[in-house]
Amino acid sequence: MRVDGAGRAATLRYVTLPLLRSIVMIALLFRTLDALRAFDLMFVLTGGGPAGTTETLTVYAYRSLFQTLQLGFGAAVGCVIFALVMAVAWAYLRAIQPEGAAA
Amino acid sequence: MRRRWRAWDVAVLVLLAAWATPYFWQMRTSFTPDRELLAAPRAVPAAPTLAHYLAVAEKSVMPRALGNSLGVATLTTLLALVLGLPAAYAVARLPIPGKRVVLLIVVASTAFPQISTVSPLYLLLRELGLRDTWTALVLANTSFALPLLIWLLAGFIREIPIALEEAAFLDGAGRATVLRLVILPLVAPGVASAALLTFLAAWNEFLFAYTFTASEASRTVPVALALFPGVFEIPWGDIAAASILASLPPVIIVIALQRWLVRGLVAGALKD
Repeated sequence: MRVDGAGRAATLRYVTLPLLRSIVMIALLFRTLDALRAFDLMFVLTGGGPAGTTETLTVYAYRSLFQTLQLGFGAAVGCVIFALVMAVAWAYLRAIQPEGAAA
Repeated sequence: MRRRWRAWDVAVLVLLAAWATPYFWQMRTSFTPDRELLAAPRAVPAAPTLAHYLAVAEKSVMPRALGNSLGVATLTTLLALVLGLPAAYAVARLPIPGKRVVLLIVVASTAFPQISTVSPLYLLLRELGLRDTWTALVLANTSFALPLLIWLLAGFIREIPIALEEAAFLDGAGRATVLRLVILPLVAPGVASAALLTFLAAWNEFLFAYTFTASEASRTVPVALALFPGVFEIPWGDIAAASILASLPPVIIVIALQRWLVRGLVAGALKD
Protein backbone atom coordinates (compact mmCIF):
# COMPACT_ATOMS: atom_id res chain seq x y z
CA MET A 1 0.00 0.00 0.00
CA ARG A 2 2.79 2.40 0.96
CA VAL A 3 4.61 1.36 -2.20
CA ASP A 4 1.51 2.27 -4.22
CA GLY A 5 1.87 5.82 -2.95
CA ALA A 6 -0.73 5.93 -0.17
CA GLY A 7 -0.21 8.33 2.73
CA ARG A 8 -0.96 7.59 6.36
CA ALA A 9 -4.54 8.84 6.06
CA ALA A 10 -5.27 6.66 3.02
CA THR A 11 -3.65 3.63 4.67
CA LEU A 12 -5.84 4.14 7.74
CA ARG A 13 -8.99 4.65 5.68
CA TYR A 14 -8.59 1.82 3.16
CA VAL A 15 -6.52 -0.82 4.98
CA THR A 16 -6.44 -0.54 8.77
CA LEU A 17 -10.06 0.42 9.49
CA PRO A 18 -11.64 -2.19 7.16
CA LEU A 19 -9.50 -4.88 8.79
CA LEU A 20 -10.51 -3.66 12.26
CA ARG A 21 -14.17 -3.53 11.25
CA SER A 22 -15.51 -6.35 13.41
CA ILE A 23 -13.46 -5.33 16.47
CA VAL A 24 -14.68 -1.74 16.16
CA MET A 25 -18.26 -2.94 15.86
CA ILE A 26 -17.93 -5.08 19.00
CA ALA A 27 -16.43 -2.12 20.90
CA LEU A 28 -19.32 0.05 19.65
CA LEU A 29 -21.81 -2.62 20.69
CA PHE A 30 -20.49 -2.80 24.24
CA ARG A 31 -20.29 0.97 24.64
CA THR A 32 -23.83 1.46 23.28
CA LEU A 33 -25.23 -1.20 25.59
CA ASP A 34 -23.39 0.26 28.57
CA ALA A 35 -24.84 3.67 27.76
CA LEU A 36 -28.35 2.23 27.43
CA ARG A 37 -28.00 0.43 30.75
CA ALA A 38 -26.31 3.29 32.62
CA PHE A 39 -27.84 3.87 36.01
CA ASP A 40 -25.47 4.88 38.78
CA LEU A 41 -24.34 8.30 37.48
CA MET A 42 -27.84 9.67 36.93
CA PHE A 43 -29.19 8.07 40.06
CA VAL A 44 -26.47 9.40 42.36
CA LEU A 45 -25.95 12.84 40.81
CA THR A 46 -29.52 13.99 40.18
CA GLY A 47 -31.85 11.10 41.04
CA GLY A 48 -33.56 11.82 37.71
CA GLY A 49 -34.39 15.40 38.69
CA PRO A 50 -35.11 18.24 38.39
CA ALA A 51 -38.66 17.17 37.48
CA GLY A 52 -37.60 14.13 35.50
CA THR A 53 -35.36 16.03 33.04
CA THR A 54 -32.46 13.62 33.60
CA GLU A 55 -34.55 10.55 34.22
CA THR A 56 -33.47 7.67 31.97
CA LEU A 57 -35.39 4.42 31.54
CA THR A 58 -33.21 2.67 34.10
CA VAL A 59 -33.73 5.35 36.76
CA TYR A 60 -37.45 5.34 35.95
CA ALA A 61 -37.59 1.57 36.38
CA TYR A 62 -35.72 1.73 39.69
CA ARG A 63 -37.90 4.51 41.06
CA SER A 64 -41.06 2.66 40.03
CA LEU A 65 -39.84 -0.53 41.68
CA PHE A 66 -38.27 0.64 44.90
CA GLN A 67 -39.53 4.15 45.60
CA THR A 68 -43.15 4.26 44.47
CA LEU A 69 -43.45 0.45 44.85
CA GLN A 70 -45.36 -0.07 41.58
CA LEU A 71 -43.85 -3.54 41.30
CA GLY A 72 -45.69 -4.74 38.19
CA PHE A 73 -45.18 -1.46 36.36
CA GLY A 74 -41.48 -1.31 37.27
CA ALA A 75 -41.00 -4.88 36.09
CA ALA A 76 -42.69 -3.94 32.81
CA VAL A 77 -40.28 -1.00 32.33
CA GLY A 78 -37.44 -3.42 33.06
CA CYS A 79 -38.69 -5.73 30.32
CA VAL A 80 -38.92 -2.83 27.87
CA ILE A 81 -35.26 -1.98 28.59
CA PHE A 82 -34.36 -5.62 28.04
CA ALA A 83 -36.18 -5.68 24.69
CA LEU A 84 -34.51 -2.43 23.64
CA VAL A 85 -31.04 -3.72 24.53
CA MET A 86 -31.65 -6.97 22.67
CA ALA A 87 -32.86 -5.08 19.59
CA VAL A 88 -29.73 -2.91 19.55
CA ALA A 89 -27.47 -5.93 20.11
CA TRP A 90 -29.18 -7.80 17.28
CA ALA A 91 -28.81 -4.85 14.90
CA TYR A 92 -25.09 -4.55 15.68
CA LEU A 93 -24.47 -8.28 15.38
CA ARG A 94 -26.14 -8.21 11.95
CA ALA A 95 -23.82 -5.39 10.93
CA ILE A 96 -20.72 -7.27 12.13
CA GLN A 97 -21.10 -9.93 9.43
CA PRO A 98 -18.19 -9.06 7.13
CA GLU A 99 -19.23 -7.91 3.66
CA GLY A 100 -17.40 -10.21 1.24
CA ALA A 101 -13.69 -10.93 1.35
CA ALA A 102 -11.41 -7.89 1.56
CA ALA A 103 -8.45 -7.81 -0.79
CA MET B 1 5.08 16.16 7.69
CA ARG B 2 7.06 16.99 10.78
CA ARG B 3 4.85 19.98 11.55
CA ARG B 4 1.66 17.93 11.28
CA TRP B 5 2.92 15.44 13.83
CA ARG B 6 3.65 18.24 16.26
CA ALA B 7 0.01 19.29 15.92
CA TRP B 8 -1.09 15.73 16.66
CA ASP B 9 1.13 15.61 19.73
CA VAL B 10 -0.44 18.80 21.05
CA ALA B 11 -3.93 17.45 20.38
CA VAL B 12 -3.14 14.25 22.28
CA LEU B 13 -1.71 16.20 25.22
CA VAL B 14 -4.79 18.45 25.33
CA LEU B 15 -7.07 15.40 25.33
CA LEU B 16 -5.06 13.73 28.10
CA ALA B 17 -5.18 16.92 30.15
CA ALA B 18 -8.95 17.19 29.68
CA TRP B 19 -9.29 13.59 30.79
CA ALA B 20 -7.08 14.08 33.86
CA THR B 21 -8.64 17.37 35.02
CA PRO B 22 -11.52 15.90 37.07
CA TYR B 23 -9.09 13.60 38.90
CA PHE B 24 -6.74 16.50 39.55
CA TRP B 25 -9.64 18.60 40.82
CA GLN B 26 -10.88 15.84 43.11
CA MET B 27 -7.32 15.41 44.43
CA ARG B 28 -7.01 19.18 44.98
CA THR B 29 -10.38 19.33 46.78
CA SER B 30 -9.39 16.48 49.08
CA PHE B 31 -6.40 18.49 50.38
CA THR B 32 -8.19 21.85 50.68
CA PRO B 33 -9.53 23.06 54.07
CA ASP B 34 -13.31 23.60 54.20
CA ARG B 35 -13.23 27.40 54.54
CA GLU B 36 -10.99 27.65 51.46
CA LEU B 37 -13.38 25.44 49.45
CA LEU B 38 -16.10 28.05 49.74
CA ALA B 39 -13.84 30.86 48.48
CA ALA B 40 -12.85 31.47 44.87
CA PRO B 41 -11.14 28.28 43.63
CA ARG B 42 -7.39 28.18 43.04
CA ALA B 43 -5.37 25.44 41.43
CA VAL B 44 -3.35 24.54 44.53
CA PRO B 45 -4.71 25.00 48.05
CA ALA B 46 -3.03 27.81 50.03
CA ALA B 47 -2.92 25.70 53.19
CA PRO B 48 -3.01 21.99 52.25
CA THR B 49 -4.52 19.78 54.92
CA LEU B 50 -5.02 16.11 55.68
CA ALA B 51 -8.12 16.90 57.75
CA HIS B 52 -10.50 15.37 55.20
CA TYR B 53 -8.56 12.10 55.08
CA LEU B 54 -8.48 11.93 58.87
CA ALA B 55 -12.23 12.61 59.02
CA VAL B 56 -12.90 9.88 56.46
CA ALA B 57 -10.65 7.39 58.23
CA GLU B 58 -11.99 8.05 61.72
CA LYS B 59 -15.57 9.23 61.47
CA SER B 60 -17.03 7.74 58.29
CA VAL B 61 -18.08 4.29 57.10
CA MET B 62 -15.39 4.34 54.40
CA PRO B 63 -12.86 2.00 56.11
CA ARG B 64 -15.61 -0.58 56.59
CA ALA B 65 -16.86 -0.02 53.03
CA LEU B 66 -13.35 -0.43 51.60
CA GLY B 67 -13.08 -3.76 53.44
CA ASN B 68 -16.49 -4.86 52.14
CA SER B 69 -15.58 -3.86 48.58
CA LEU B 70 -12.23 -5.65 48.69
CA GLY B 71 -13.87 -8.78 50.08
CA VAL B 72 -16.80 -8.81 47.67
CA ALA B 73 -14.70 -8.01 44.60
CA THR B 74 -12.01 -10.57 45.46
CA LEU B 75 -14.49 -13.36 46.21
CA THR B 76 -16.46 -12.51 43.06
CA THR B 77 -13.29 -12.73 40.96
CA LEU B 78 -12.24 -16.05 42.51
CA LEU B 79 -15.68 -17.65 42.20
CA ALA B 80 -16.08 -16.43 38.61
CA LEU B 81 -12.66 -17.83 37.67
CA VAL B 82 -13.26 -21.20 39.35
CA LEU B 83 -16.60 -21.57 37.53
CA GLY B 84 -15.66 -19.79 34.32
CA LEU B 85 -12.34 -21.41 33.40
CA PRO B 86 -13.70 -24.99 33.08
CA ALA B 87 -16.77 -23.62 31.27
CA ALA B 88 -14.57 -21.71 28.84
CA TYR B 89 -12.41 -24.79 28.26
CA ALA B 90 -15.53 -26.87 27.57
CA VAL B 91 -16.89 -24.30 25.13
CA ALA B 92 -13.55 -24.01 23.37
CA ARG B 93 -12.50 -27.65 23.16
CA LEU B 94 -15.13 -30.27 24.03
CA PRO B 95 -17.49 -31.65 21.35
CA ILE B 96 -20.70 -30.30 22.90
CA PRO B 97 -23.81 -30.52 20.69
CA GLY B 98 -25.14 -27.05 19.89
CA LYS B 99 -21.93 -25.40 21.08
CA ARG B 100 -22.35 -22.39 18.80
CA VAL B 101 -25.81 -21.76 20.23
CA VAL B 102 -24.46 -22.03 23.77
CA LEU B 103 -21.74 -19.51 23.03
CA LEU B 104 -24.25 -17.22 21.31
CA ILE B 105 -26.44 -17.30 24.44
CA VAL B 106 -23.38 -16.57 26.58
CA VAL B 107 -22.51 -13.55 24.42
CA ALA B 108 -26.13 -12.39 24.36
CA SER B 109 -26.37 -12.55 28.14
CA THR B 110 -23.44 -10.12 28.50
CA ALA B 111 -25.93 -7.61 27.10
CA PHE B 112 -28.43 -8.31 29.87
CA PRO B 113 -29.49 -5.15 31.74
CA GLN B 114 -29.16 -5.47 35.52
CA ILE B 115 -32.23 -3.36 36.12
CA SER B 116 -34.41 -6.02 34.47
CA THR B 117 -33.45 -8.62 37.07
CA VAL B 118 -32.89 -6.53 40.17
CA SER B 119 -36.39 -6.92 41.64
CA PRO B 120 -36.73 -10.72 41.26
CA LEU B 121 -33.16 -11.11 42.55
CA TYR B 122 -34.04 -8.93 45.53
CA LEU B 123 -37.07 -11.10 46.38
CA LEU B 124 -35.02 -14.27 45.92
CA LEU B 125 -32.17 -13.10 48.15
CA ARG B 126 -34.62 -11.89 50.79
CA GLU B 127 -36.34 -15.30 50.88
CA LEU B 128 -32.93 -16.96 51.21
CA GLY B 129 -32.13 -14.70 54.14
CA LEU B 130 -29.12 -13.27 52.31
CA ARG B 131 -30.12 -9.61 52.34
CA ASP B 132 -27.31 -7.33 53.56
CA THR B 133 -24.60 -10.02 53.26
CA TRP B 134 -21.42 -10.38 51.22
CA THR B 135 -22.79 -13.66 49.83
CA ALA B 136 -25.69 -11.88 48.12
CA LEU B 137 -23.37 -9.43 46.35
CA VAL B 138 -20.82 -12.10 45.42
CA LEU B 139 -23.50 -14.34 43.90
CA ALA B 140 -25.22 -11.53 42.00
CA ASN B 141 -21.95 -10.04 40.72
CA THR B 142 -20.62 -13.46 39.70
CA SER B 143 -23.75 -14.23 37.69
CA PHE B 144 -23.22 -11.01 35.74
CA ALA B 145 -19.45 -11.43 35.38
CA LEU B 146 -19.50 -15.03 34.12
CA PRO B 147 -20.71 -14.54 30.51
CA LEU B 148 -18.00 -12.03 29.59
CA LEU B 149 -15.38 -14.07 31.46
CA ILE B 150 -16.32 -17.32 29.68
CA TRP B 151 -16.38 -15.58 26.33
CA LEU B 152 -12.95 -13.95 26.85
CA LEU B 153 -11.29 -17.09 28.23
CA ALA B 154 -12.75 -19.30 25.49
CA GLY B 155 -11.13 -16.96 22.97
CA PHE B 156 -7.76 -17.21 24.72
CA ILE B 157 -7.98 -21.00 25.03
CA ARG B 158 -8.78 -21.40 21.34
CA GLU B 159 -5.50 -19.65 20.49
CA ILE B 160 -3.46 -22.32 22.28
CA PRO B 161 -2.13 -24.83 19.75
CA ILE B 162 -4.15 -28.03 20.22
CA ALA B 163 -0.99 -30.06 19.62
CA LEU B 164 0.19 -29.13 23.13
CA GLU B 165 -2.88 -30.76 24.66
CA GLU B 166 -2.61 -33.79 22.38
CA ALA B 167 0.98 -34.26 23.52
CA ALA B 168 -0.19 -34.21 27.15
CA PHE B 169 -2.98 -36.71 26.41
CA LEU B 170 -0.44 -39.04 24.74
CA ASP B 171 1.63 -38.87 27.89
CA GLY B 172 -1.41 -40.12 29.81
CA ALA B 173 -2.82 -36.91 31.26
CA GLY B 174 -6.57 -36.61 31.91
CA ARG B 175 -8.76 -33.59 31.14
CA ALA B 176 -8.38 -32.15 34.64
CA THR B 177 -4.59 -32.46 34.53
CA VAL B 178 -4.43 -30.88 31.07
CA LEU B 179 -6.60 -28.01 32.24
CA ARG B 180 -4.46 -27.43 35.32
CA LEU B 181 -0.94 -28.06 33.98
CA VAL B 182 -1.19 -27.13 30.29
CA ILE B 183 -4.07 -24.72 29.74
CA LEU B 184 -3.90 -22.71 32.96
CA PRO B 185 -0.22 -21.65 32.69
CA LEU B 186 -0.66 -20.79 29.01
CA VAL B 187 -3.77 -18.67 29.45
CA ALA B 188 -2.36 -16.92 32.53
CA PRO B 189 -2.22 -13.55 30.73
CA GLY B 190 -5.81 -14.06 29.56
CA VAL B 191 -6.86 -15.08 33.07
CA ALA B 192 -5.16 -11.95 34.44
CA SER B 193 -7.06 -9.64 32.07
CA ALA B 194 -10.38 -11.45 32.62
CA ALA B 195 -9.84 -11.40 36.40
CA LEU B 196 -9.01 -7.70 36.26
CA LEU B 197 -12.20 -6.88 34.32
CA THR B 198 -14.27 -8.96 36.74
CA PHE B 199 -12.66 -7.33 39.77
CA LEU B 200 -13.16 -3.80 38.42
CA ALA B 201 -16.79 -4.50 37.49
CA ALA B 202 -17.47 -5.86 40.99
CA TRP B 203 -15.58 -2.94 42.57
CA ASN B 204 -17.64 -0.35 40.66
CA GLU B 205 -20.96 -2.19 40.79
CA PHE B 206 -23.63 0.10 42.21
CA LEU B 207 -27.19 -1.07 41.50
CA PHE B 208 -27.01 -4.47 43.22
CA ALA B 209 -24.90 -3.13 46.08
CA TYR B 210 -27.37 -0.30 46.64
CA THR B 211 -30.43 -2.56 46.51
CA PHE B 212 -29.26 -5.63 48.41
CA THR B 213 -27.49 -3.90 51.30
CA ALA B 214 -29.10 -2.26 54.30
CA SER B 215 -26.29 -1.42 56.70
CA GLU B 216 -22.56 -0.87 56.86
CA ALA B 217 -22.16 -4.62 57.40
CA SER B 218 -22.12 -5.10 53.64
CA ARG B 219 -22.26 -1.64 52.02
CA THR B 220 -19.57 -1.31 49.36
CA VAL B 221 -17.57 1.78 48.41
CA PRO B 222 -19.84 3.11 45.62
CA VAL B 223 -22.86 2.90 47.95
CA ALA B 224 -20.98 4.51 50.82
CA LEU B 225 -19.94 7.35 48.49
CA ALA B 226 -23.49 7.83 47.24
CA LEU B 227 -24.79 8.03 50.81
CA PHE B 228 -22.07 10.46 51.89
CA PRO B 229 -23.94 13.77 51.60
CA GLY B 230 -25.29 14.71 55.03
CA VAL B 231 -28.74 15.98 55.81
CA PHE B 232 -27.82 19.64 56.24
CA GLU B 233 -24.62 20.05 54.24
CA ILE B 234 -22.55 18.32 51.60
CA PRO B 235 -19.01 17.64 52.89
CA TRP B 236 -17.23 18.20 49.57
CA GLY B 237 -13.74 17.81 51.00
CA ASP B 238 -14.56 14.53 52.76
CA ILE B 239 -16.29 13.17 49.64
CA ALA B 240 -13.23 14.04 47.57
CA ALA B 241 -10.89 12.33 50.03
CA ALA B 242 -13.16 9.27 50.17
CA SER B 243 -13.35 8.98 46.39
CA ILE B 244 -9.57 9.30 46.04
CA LEU B 245 -9.23 6.45 48.55
CA ALA B 246 -11.86 4.47 46.62
CA SER B 247 -9.92 4.72 43.37
CA LEU B 248 -6.57 3.65 44.85
CA PRO B 249 -7.06 -0.16 45.10
CA PRO B 250 -8.01 -0.63 41.40
CA VAL B 251 -5.01 1.48 40.34
CA ILE B 252 -2.66 -0.55 42.55
CA ILE B 253 -4.06 -3.82 41.18
CA VAL B 254 -3.68 -2.72 37.55
CA ILE B 255 -0.06 -1.77 38.19
CA ALA B 256 0.58 -5.08 39.99
CA LEU B 257 -0.94 -7.13 37.17
CA GLN B 258 0.70 -5.16 34.36
CA ARG B 259 3.46 -7.70 33.78
CA TRP B 260 0.86 -10.44 33.28
CA LEU B 261 -1.39 -8.32 31.11
CA VAL B 262 1.22 -7.76 28.43
CA ARG B 263 3.05 -11.08 28.44
CA GLY B 264 2.31 -13.70 25.83
CA LEU B 265 3.35 -17.17 26.95
CA VAL B 266 2.54 -19.25 23.89
CA ALA B 267 5.28 -17.64 21.83
CA GLY B 268 8.01 -20.22 21.28
CA ALA B 269 6.15 -23.08 22.99
CA LEU B 270 6.01 -25.17 19.82
CA LYS B 271 8.89 -26.06 17.58
CA ASP B 272 7.79 -27.04 14.09
